[in-house]
Formats: sequence, structure tokens, C-alpha cells
Amino acid sequence: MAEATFRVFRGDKNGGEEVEYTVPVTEGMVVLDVIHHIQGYTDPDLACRWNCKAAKCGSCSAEVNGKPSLMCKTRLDHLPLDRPVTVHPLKAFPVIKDLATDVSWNFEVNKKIKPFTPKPDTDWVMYQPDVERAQEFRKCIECFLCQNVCHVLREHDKHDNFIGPRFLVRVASLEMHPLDNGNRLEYLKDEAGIALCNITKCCTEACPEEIHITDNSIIPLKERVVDEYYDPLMRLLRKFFGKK
Amino acid sequence: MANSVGSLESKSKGFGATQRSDLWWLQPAATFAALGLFVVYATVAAFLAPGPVTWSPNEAASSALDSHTYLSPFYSPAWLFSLGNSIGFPYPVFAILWIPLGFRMTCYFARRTYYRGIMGDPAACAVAEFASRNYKGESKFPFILQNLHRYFLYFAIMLVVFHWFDIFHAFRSVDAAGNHEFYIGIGSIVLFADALFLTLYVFSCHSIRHLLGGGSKCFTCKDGTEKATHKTWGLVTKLNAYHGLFFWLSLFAVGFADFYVRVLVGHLE
Repeated sequence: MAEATFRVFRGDKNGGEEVEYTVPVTEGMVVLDVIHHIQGYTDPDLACRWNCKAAKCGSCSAEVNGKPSLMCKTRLDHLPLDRPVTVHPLKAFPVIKDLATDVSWNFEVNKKIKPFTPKPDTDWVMYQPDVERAQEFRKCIECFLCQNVCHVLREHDKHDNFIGPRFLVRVASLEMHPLDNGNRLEYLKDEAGIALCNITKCCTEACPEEIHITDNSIIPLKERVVDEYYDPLMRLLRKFFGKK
Repeated sequence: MANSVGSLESKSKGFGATQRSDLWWLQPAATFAALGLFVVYATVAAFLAPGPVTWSPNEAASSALDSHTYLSPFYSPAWLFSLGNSIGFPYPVFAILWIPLGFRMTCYFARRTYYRGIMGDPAACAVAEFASRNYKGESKFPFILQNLHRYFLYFAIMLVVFHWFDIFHAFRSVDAAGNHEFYIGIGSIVLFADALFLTLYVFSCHSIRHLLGGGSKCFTCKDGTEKATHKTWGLVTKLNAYHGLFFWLSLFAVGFADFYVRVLVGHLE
């Protein structure tokens, strides 16, 4: 039976090391199978978060050969197995143990976003053309790969000033909701730090659900912020013709 | 079997550090080369000719602005060049070039391209850069000026109109007696391609997508009747999916069109 070598991060928040494992490879295997094999036959204390093994729960996010990926969706026959494959935890978040990271910062950020806010006397009728834009954002499985790959968080460590692509997607889904009456533009500019995003599209490339994060949520939000704060012509039009 | 292969602390620090094993550097390197080539060519070309670069099959007519067949797109619209000349611009071509330069520099796709390919911020996804806690993104000068993109868009739309007007000239010639007749040459096709790709690039822009409906809270509010903005937004959305392709095609087309007209005129001999 064919074998492949994997270098898996073992450690915690204080540091760690790569440990090399040799694992038998069978047809159809994914990286998560390798981790389960290691747990079953070599190191039962190897920590890893997983649940559905169907790319829908967003739990098994890691960095395979340096690329943020879902381990359950990364097939071995798509990897070069002639050299060791590295499996590391998400870099943008603190390691708890081995491949499990503490992503609780994301849940704290989520609480600060103004929730869905309908008008008091809302007529609860919606039409498909109005809701279809935001439906794409509902596909998000909160794997946080976009947060991990975003260089504002990953490299510049701006967790205090920037909410990251996942939550810009959430704000976009609310801002584009036809029955929402909340205004999050000031929040976007001053607290969410949307201007820190320099649209390098890594979040879009990393998204396993293929949400067009940059084109369909971040850029439209940036344009709305421009409408409100940087476009005197639009401000003048709003004054004469009322709010869009 | 498990073997320790060393602490991680000794690894992956500094610009370009990554665990990626694919050819991640290829795209930023190609971008750097392509953008660099265009910038060098456009700068040299802009300083090369004192007047608009025009060509006509009838040599007597080639220098007359109102009777040219081919006009290099760098000098379109010619009247703006003349205006720049009359108010004493040392290089009147810059009375025109600030429009495409401003539009492209603030374009969302171009920003992604040069942040990655030129500034390495980051060069590629999950690749280390010059990490700094002073990173300001587009929140401070000069990058806060990216918010002016829609104003450059308005001028770029005017530029599109003038490029199509030049296509009208590119398909006709003036004989010695001053009579206009239909003409078609390779340059006519080249200039047509330039106008076409510029149009597709401008009208697939993210700002125009927002202004033509994307900024609306809803498309059918109140009575369920679909507004025209849903159709315009839908059309631009379809084009927008290819915005990056149009960026490169139009960049190549405008450069090649200028090069072709210069070859005909003999500037590059």
C-alpha cells in the first residue's frame, strides 16, 4: 500500500513543533482521514476539531501545505505526496492544542453587529429579486478560513480594529435585506474598520462555499460608505431627493 | 510512526515566508512584469511625441487633426490635448492621461493587482509580508483617495464616448481633394478593439454596479413591481464577473493601439 509523509503541528499557545507521521494512503482519502488515522493508530492525543466531514460544519479548518483549507475537503490526490505534507492550525487565532484554535474572538465580534432591525409596522412581504442578493451570504459555514487568510488579521494583527471578511459578509446580508431598517454605515467606517481592507481577495479565494466575499459584500459596503462619507455629490442628491 | 522534526520558532519569519509549496510567486511576478512593462512604455511614449500621434493613408492629411484616420488612444480626445497645449502644459498629453491613470489606479481590481504584484501587501495569500502594526489600509492618505474612484468613473465614461468617436475616423480616409471615403485597415480593427475593451472595462466597474442599482435597499419595494435598477444592476453584475479580464484586455489593447500607430508614423524607427 502506498504511503505518504505528513508533518503535523503538535503544541499549544506556548509553542510547538512539527511531528512527522507516515500514513498509508488509500483512494479517496482526505487530510482529515489522515488525522483520524494518526489519532487511531499513533497519537490518540492529537487534538483536532471536526464534526460533519462533509464541508458543511466549518470545524476542521487548518493550513494544509500552507493553504487555509477544510481538512475534510482536501483530497490527497490533489496534493504532491512525493514530499511531506504540512498540516498546521489556523495562524490568525491562538492555538489551544495541536490543530484546535480558539476562535471565540469571532463570536465576540458578532455580538457587536446591530442585528436585523425592521420598521415597527413592517409588512412582512418580500419578493425574490430583493432577497436573492443576500441569499448567497447565508451559505457561510463559519469556518473562519477567510478570517485566517485575511492579512489584516493574520499579518497585521488588527483584531481590535477590524472585524474581518466573515463579519463584513454578515453586515452586507443585513444591509441588503429589504426589510431591514438599521443603519450600520457609521459602525462600518469607525468600528468595523472596513477601510483597512485593501481588497486583495484572499478571503474569496479561501472560501470553501465559494461566496464572492469581496465583489458581492465588501466592495458594495465600501461603496455605501463612500455614498455616506466621501461623495459630496451623492450627499447633495440625498438632500434634494431624500434618502435612497 | 512519529518523529519530531524541530521547533516551529525557527521557521517562517520575514517577507515572503510561507509554508505554501505551490508556485505562489508566479502571479505577483507576472503582474509586476506586465504592469511594469506598460508603465515604462506609456511613460516613454507620453514624453516621446510633442503632438498627437495620428496617421492617414493620405500623407498630407495625417498631420491635420480633423482629417486623420488613426489617432493614438493616448491622445484621445484630441481637443483635450489641444486645450492642454493652449494653457501651457509642458506635456499636454497629461491633460488626457490623468483620466485613465486615475480610473485604473483607483479601480477595485487594479488595487488588488498592484497591492499584490507591486507592493507585496500581501504578495499572495498566506504569504508573509512586511508586517507592521502601523498598517492603515485605505483609511489614511494617500490610499483614502481610492474613495474617489466613482469620480474618475464619470470622466472615464466620457473617454469611452470619445474613443468611439475616433473609431468613426478610423474607418474613413480623406483623399487629396478632401473627400471622405470608407477605409479599413489593421489599425481600424486595433482601434476598434481598444474602444470595445475600454467600454467593457468601464461598464463592468464595481462603482457603476453600485450606482446603477446595487446601492438600493431593494429592487421591488412597496408594491412588488420590479424597478429598472434591478435590470441594470443585473446586467452590470454579469459584466462585473469579467472585470479583471477586461482590465487586462483594455490595458493591452490601448498599449498595442498606441504602439501600432507609432509604427505607422515611424516614431519607433
